[in-house]
Amino acid sequence: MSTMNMYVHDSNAIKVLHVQGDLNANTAGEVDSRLHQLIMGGNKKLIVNLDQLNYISSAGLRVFLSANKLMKKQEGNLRICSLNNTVKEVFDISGFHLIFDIFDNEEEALNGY
Amino acid sequence: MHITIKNSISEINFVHKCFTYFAKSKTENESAIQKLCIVIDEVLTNIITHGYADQGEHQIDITCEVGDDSLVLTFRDDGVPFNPLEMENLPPNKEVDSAELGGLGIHLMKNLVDQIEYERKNDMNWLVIGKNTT
Repeated sequence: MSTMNMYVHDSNAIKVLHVQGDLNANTAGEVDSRLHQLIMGGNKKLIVNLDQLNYISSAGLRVFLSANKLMKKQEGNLRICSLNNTVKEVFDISGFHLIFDIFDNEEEALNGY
Repeated sequence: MHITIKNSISEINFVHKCFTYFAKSKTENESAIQKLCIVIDEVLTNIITHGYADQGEHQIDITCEVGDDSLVLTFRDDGVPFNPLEMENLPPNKEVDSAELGGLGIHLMKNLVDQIEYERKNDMNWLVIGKNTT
């Protein structure tokens, strides 16, 4: 049984991908496929909401890095929001806070998007 | 807690479940538990992906013990000698590119815990990792 769940909802015509649970070596592949599908499906604005994410390992970070690169190729933009303290610390330690647009919550991520 | 797994990525989920169940009975420090879950993922992924010169089945032992206001994880594997303490840290505050991602897991591990010790004995890697829970 997977320890990760995902769902997408539309907010102001922008797709928001919620990733919940554990994002690790076991679950990263599923998130990678979903993000790839959303980006190649023509969504040039995309928000990833991590408010229910328990933790993220380097396998999960690689997924977001790859998605960000793909999005830039498509001339789009990826925003990430609602990181818990542990996830935020992982982003900070790895330097990912410098390459991603990170917002405190979904409302702020949607603002001016 | 003492468990033995095979060298397969799919086994990591089982380790997470056992560890989380054990750790939650010993501490209420959610952040420490989350960080040790990340460490478990990094260490086991590293051993399973890079640790073996052959394609055969190997066993990895994982124990978790309660120390003085800490949780201590010990990983024991018969893979090639690998001391993560010898890996250089990623430069701080530098944009990460895919070319630099090789050491990302170890960089994370080193920065999320309070104690790391490595020893090679009896042709096995012993990695001891401690995290304060206070």
